[in-house]
Amino acid sequence: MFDLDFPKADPVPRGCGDREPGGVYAESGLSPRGRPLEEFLFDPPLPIPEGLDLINKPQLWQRTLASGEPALDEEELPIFDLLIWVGEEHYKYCPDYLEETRRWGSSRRLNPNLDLSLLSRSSRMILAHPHVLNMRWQEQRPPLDCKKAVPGHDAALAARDDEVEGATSEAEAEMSLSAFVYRAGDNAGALLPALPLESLRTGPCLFKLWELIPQEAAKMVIDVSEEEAGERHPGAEPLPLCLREIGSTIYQYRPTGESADGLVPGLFAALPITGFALIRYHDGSVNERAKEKIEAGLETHESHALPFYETDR
Amino acid sequence: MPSTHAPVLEVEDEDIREVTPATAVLWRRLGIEALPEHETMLLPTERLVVPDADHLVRSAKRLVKSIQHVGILQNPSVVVQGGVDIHDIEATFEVIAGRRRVLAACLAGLTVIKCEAYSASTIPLSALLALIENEQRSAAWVREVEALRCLIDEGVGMTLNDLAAFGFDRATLSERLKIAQLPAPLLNRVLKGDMSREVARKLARLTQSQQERVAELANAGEEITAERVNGILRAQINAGFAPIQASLVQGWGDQSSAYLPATSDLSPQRLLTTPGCEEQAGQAACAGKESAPEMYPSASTTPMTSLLAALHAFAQSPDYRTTPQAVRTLIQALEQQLRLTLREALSVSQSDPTVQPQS
Repeated sequence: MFDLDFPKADPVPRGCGDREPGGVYAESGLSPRGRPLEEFLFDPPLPIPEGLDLINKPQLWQRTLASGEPALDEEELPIFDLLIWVGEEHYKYCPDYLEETRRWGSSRRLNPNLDLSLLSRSSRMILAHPHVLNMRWQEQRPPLDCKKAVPGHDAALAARDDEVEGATSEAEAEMSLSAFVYRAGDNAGALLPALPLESLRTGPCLFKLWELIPQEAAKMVIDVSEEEAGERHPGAEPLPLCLREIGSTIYQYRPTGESADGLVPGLFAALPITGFALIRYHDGSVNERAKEKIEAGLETHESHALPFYETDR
Repeated sequence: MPSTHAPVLEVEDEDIREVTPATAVLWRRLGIEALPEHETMLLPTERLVVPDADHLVRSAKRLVKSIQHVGILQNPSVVVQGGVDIHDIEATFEVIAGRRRVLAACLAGLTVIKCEAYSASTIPLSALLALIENEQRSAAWVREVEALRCLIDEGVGMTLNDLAAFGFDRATLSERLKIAQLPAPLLNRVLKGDMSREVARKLARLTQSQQERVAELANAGEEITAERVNGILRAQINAGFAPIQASLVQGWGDQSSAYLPATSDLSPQRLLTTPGCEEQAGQAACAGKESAPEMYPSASTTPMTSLLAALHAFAQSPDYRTTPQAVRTLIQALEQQLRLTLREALSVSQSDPTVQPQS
């Protein structure tokens, strides 16, 4: 048997509401020895593989190596991942889901008919959202901050672009570029001037999504003064500080007013699975069919198996 | 002079009417002597009774638009209630097949509906009729594909939106349209009924180049089995997953242990956990044991910890309930943001031994 004191998702009301009696949920819990959420995010987000029918159909997918061979875990068993669609009916904007996960962990309802015994500690929840891959990123300002610090993603480049636009000659442009790289002070700085200009900016950046949430989606908008504005896009007005509420989560974002029309479906995260939650019916029982499969997984994967717990909510 | 045709026609007529022993057994099982008489009739909607209507209304709404545009194309089947004659003007009829169509017609404002009215029925017969109708409809997807192909070939400039205006389900329509655009050798098999809907749906999910590859196989006379199409589709999707699989195999699995701090006496922070790291740290997790004021004792974060403690205390106090909503929103937002900031501060200090050496 396993230790019941494993990381669990907080049972707070979420964007998709409360967990339902009889439901089976895969969780990515928070813990004192966890790792930052950003480490599990895809930045840039990735396109959904062509032919994958994922919308509202949680499914298992066997992981393969580049060679096409099945990926195996420590016990030489094939690794299966969970593919999950995060629908816009509950999480209109992808940051809604990410901010919720950052605060309370992730909890996703599963189809109890899935063969949950195939999942192990090596499995991941690979998440997709309908509006995550920004096809218009090159027309838009880079985000103020790329939390994964992907070279070429963040807003410092906007400063460079402005300076280069204002330059009167090619030599001046090159100097401005060098000055920018020097100020940015990252390790890649020395390499940047040698690259062609258009290759400096990379993307699309996942963290731009926060800036594309419209101001109207906020529960509260706080106008900030010049002094309080903090970081801002070069040459731009201070952005309003918006608070958005989704379930138990209230998070801040700074909308730029740019269009979100270019957002298309994509994959944005591969979260670890820490265990399963079986929500009790009113009579105290749980979905026995799902429980049997999870218990079969305990036998198959032994020390590498995913634990579960029964709970009222 | 006797006609050479008449006897043949009579024989055929008799053949049709003949009840074979097998059919007779079936009728007996259904509790009837023979198939009850039925007639196509125009019936007022108020005389139609739809069993389980409450549960069907939602799905019926989808049909309203198409009925408004083109009417009901397949007559619902009804059976007269109370054993009266179907021509009795007081008779009411229970709908045994086409309940959604009838409900949608009512929602669309139709006052009469053309129905196949049966004079009598039993529960098993009603079930059988419903089953037969569904069976007849089950091949309808092929006709839909054929119709869409016809629209494409005729160069009718209709978009999915135009068709959706008739009440079609967009996802279903989109899928049918993809099937209708399959390469000719594959589409022909679909239209001839030589291919199951499941296989056709999977073929439609293949890229054009993969479809052409399968079409070549079909042209060469090879059988296009579900397993074969599944295999090709799977390989295609796996290719799309390649960037993810690479990072999953090489990246996070290795990082999880390397990232762990050496100490087993850490202040609780709450970040996503990679399974296995708990055991490696040799200590149980503290998730769910949230006690905000005591969570972050680091000296550098003390002011924020104090503020968080004060906010937490206020949020638990009776005064909080009478606080204006806007203030409560701000308090909640600040509390959540403080927690995250403190977590991140702790995470940075723990991951960089030069900033805060682990004891």
